[in-house]
Amino acid sequence: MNQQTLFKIIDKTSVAMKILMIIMICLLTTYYAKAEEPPRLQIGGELLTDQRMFIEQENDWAWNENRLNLRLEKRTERIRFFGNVWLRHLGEPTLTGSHELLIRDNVQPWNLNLREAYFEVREFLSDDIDLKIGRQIINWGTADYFNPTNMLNPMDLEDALDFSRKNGALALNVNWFINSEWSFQGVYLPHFSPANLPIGPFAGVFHSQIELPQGLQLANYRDVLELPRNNVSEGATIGFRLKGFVLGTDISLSYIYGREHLPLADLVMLSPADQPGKVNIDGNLIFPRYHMAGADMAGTIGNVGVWAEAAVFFPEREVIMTTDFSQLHGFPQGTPMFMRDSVVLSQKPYMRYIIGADYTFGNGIYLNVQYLHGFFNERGRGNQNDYLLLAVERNFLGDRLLVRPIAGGLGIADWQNPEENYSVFFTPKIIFRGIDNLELTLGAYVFGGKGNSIFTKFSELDMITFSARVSF
Amino acid sequence: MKKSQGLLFLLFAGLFLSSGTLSALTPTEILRRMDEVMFQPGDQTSNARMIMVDRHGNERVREATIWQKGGEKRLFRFTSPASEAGIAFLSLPNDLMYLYLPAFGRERRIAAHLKNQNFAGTDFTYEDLEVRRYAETFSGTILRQEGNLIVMELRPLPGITSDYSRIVVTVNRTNFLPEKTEAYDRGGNLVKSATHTWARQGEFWFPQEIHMRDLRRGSSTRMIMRNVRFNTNLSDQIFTVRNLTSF
Repeated sequence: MNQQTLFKIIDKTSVAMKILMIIMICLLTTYYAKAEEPPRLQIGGELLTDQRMFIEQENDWAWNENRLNLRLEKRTERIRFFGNVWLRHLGEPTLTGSHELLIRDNVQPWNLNLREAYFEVREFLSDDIDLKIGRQIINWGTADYFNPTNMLNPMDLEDALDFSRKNGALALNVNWFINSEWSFQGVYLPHFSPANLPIGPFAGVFHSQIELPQGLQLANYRDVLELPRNNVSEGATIGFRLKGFVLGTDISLSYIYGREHLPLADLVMLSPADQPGKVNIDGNLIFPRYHMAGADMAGTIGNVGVWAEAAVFFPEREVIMTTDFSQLHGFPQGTPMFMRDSVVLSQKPYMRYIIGADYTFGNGIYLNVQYLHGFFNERGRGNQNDYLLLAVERNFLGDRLLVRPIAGGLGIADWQNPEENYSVFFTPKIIFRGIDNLELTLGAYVFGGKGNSIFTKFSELDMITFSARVSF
Repeated sequence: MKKSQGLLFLLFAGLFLSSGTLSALTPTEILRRMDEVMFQPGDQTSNARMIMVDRHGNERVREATIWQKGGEKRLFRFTSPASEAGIAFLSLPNDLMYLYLPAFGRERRIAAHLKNQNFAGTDFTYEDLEVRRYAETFSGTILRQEGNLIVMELRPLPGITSDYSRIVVTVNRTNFLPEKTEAYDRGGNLVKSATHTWARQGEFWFPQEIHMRDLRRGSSTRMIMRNVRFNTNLSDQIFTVRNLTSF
C-alpha cells in the first residue's frame, strides 16, 4: 500500500467519522427536543461567517470561515450536561491537479470540532463540592483577554489573531466551596495535547528563526515531535487554585504542574542538500515540563476597575539545543565543523505578568489600559517583551452600535534599542447589534515594527475584516 | 341622617389620624416603612419581560428570570433572545456586583465606574438593578405632600457609591410604596424617570410594572413581572458566584 492510498483511506475514514458524528448529534437533538419531561434539552448556538481580506497583496483573502456553533445543554437539579460542537467550512481549497476535483472535501474543505462535552454534578458527595468531568475549557485568571495563569488547556492558535482561544481537554475538575467567599479547585488533565498552530497566511508566525551559516540557504526542513509518553503521569497536567474575597478584592493563588504546549527544539541537524549552497535541516522538538505559581486579583480603586495577574514559571530542567554541523564539513568554506550547544530554556524561573485598569467616563467612553510583560510564546528568563495595550470604545444608538476607534498596542523587545526592536498593532472595530440576535462587525488589523517581536512577523498581513454572527 | 353624619365624621377622623401619624413619621421612618413593605417577603422569584423602545420608536424585547432574597441579594439572568440568553447579573451586599457573560466562561466584578452603564442595552443601569434598602442607602427630606402622596428627596448616605446626586421619590402614603422616582446626575440634571405599578398577591406587594425612561437617550424600558412566587425558601447558594457561573 503506498502512501497516497493510505491517505485516501484515512481521508475517507475521517469523512465517515464526521458523518457518523453529525448523525449522532442530529438523533440526540431530535430525541431530546421531542422529550416532554422538563427540563428539556436546550439547544442554542450561532452561525458565523468571518471574512478577512489583505489590504495589500492584491486584496487576497486572508481568512474564510463559515461556522455553525452548536451548544447543547441540559440541567436537572444537580446535574448539568453541556456540549459544544463547531461544524465549519474553513479556508480555501488547495488543489494541485484535476484528480483532486473528484474529492468533494478537497474542493469544499470542512471540519468538525468537538469543543467541549462534559457533565457537572452539583453537591457531589458533599453540599460544598461540585464535580465536572469531560472535555472542557477551564479559564483561570482575572485579567482582560491576556491571562498568564490560564495555562491548563492547550492553546488553539489556528486563528493567529485570537490568542486567547483554547482547545477543550479531558479533565477532572473538582471545586470545593469552603464558604461563601473562599473556594478551592483541583484539576487533573490526564492527556497531553500540544497547541495547534496558525493556518493559512499566519502559518509560521510562531516558528523560531534558524540562523544558517553565511552563504547557505534552506532547502528542506523536517522535524520530529517528541511527545510525552501517554500514561497517567507523563502526559498529565495537574492544577490547584485557591480563590477568595479579601477586603473587597477578588484574589486567587494557583499552581500548575504542566507542559509547554508550544514545542522547543533540542536538536537541529544540518546536512547538505542536492542543490549547491543549500542545506536540509532535521529537528527534534520537545514539550518541556514546568511548575507554575500564579496569583491574580481584581478590584476597584475609587471608581476605577483594576486587575493584576502574574505567573512564575519554574522549568523542570534546562533545555539545550544542539546544532549539529558535522555533516557540513568543509561545505562551504568557513562553515563550522562542530556541534554547538545553546541554552533555549534556562532552568532559572521567569515571570509573565499583566496589570490593567478600566474606567467609564461620564459621557460613556470606556477606556481599558493594560501593561503586559511576556507574551505566551516568550519563554525563559530574559525573553519577555513588554507591551502596552489600549482600547477605547463607546456605545451609540442605545447600545446598538459599538465603536472601538482605538484598540491595539505597542511592544518593545529591547529597551536598549527600542527604535529597532518594537512592534505596533492597531485593531479598530465597529460592531452593529441593531437587530436582536444579529451582530455585524467591521474591523481592521494593521501591524508594524522592527526587530524581534511577535507582531513584527505580522507586518505584511494588514487586513480588513468583516464578520456576521446570528444567535439562535 | 345621623348615621351618615357619623360615617362622614369617621372618614374625616380617619384622614386626620392618618395625616397626623404620617406627619409624626420622620423621613427615615418613611424609608424604613417602604423597605418593610417592599422587602416583606423573605424571597421571591419572577419572570420579567422587558420591552425596550428607543427614541425612534423601535421596540426590542428581552426576557429574564429574577431571584431575590430579602433586601440584600438579587440574581438576574436573561433567558431570551438567544444572543443575550445566559447573561447574568448578581447583586450582593456591600456594593458587590458580578456580571457573567457565557462567551467568556467566567464572572467579572462590576467596578464602580460601570454602575452607571446600562445593563445589556436596557434603560436600567447596574445601579438601578442593585438591591438596596432605602433606609440604609439614602437620607430623606420631605419636599411636599400632595393628597395621598408624599414627595421626598433622597440623597446617598456618606460612604454610599451612587451615580445619582439625588432622587425624588413619590410615595403613596397608604401603602408606603414608591409610585414614581426621578433621578438626577451629579450635575443636577434630571436623567431618569420611573413609574411603578404595584400589585398585591396574597399578603405581599410586588412591582407589576416598572416603566423606566432614560431622558438623555430618549429611550424607555418597561419591565413587566409575571409568575411571581413568594417565600419558596430560596437557598443562599443561588446568590453565589458558584451559581452565577454554572447553574
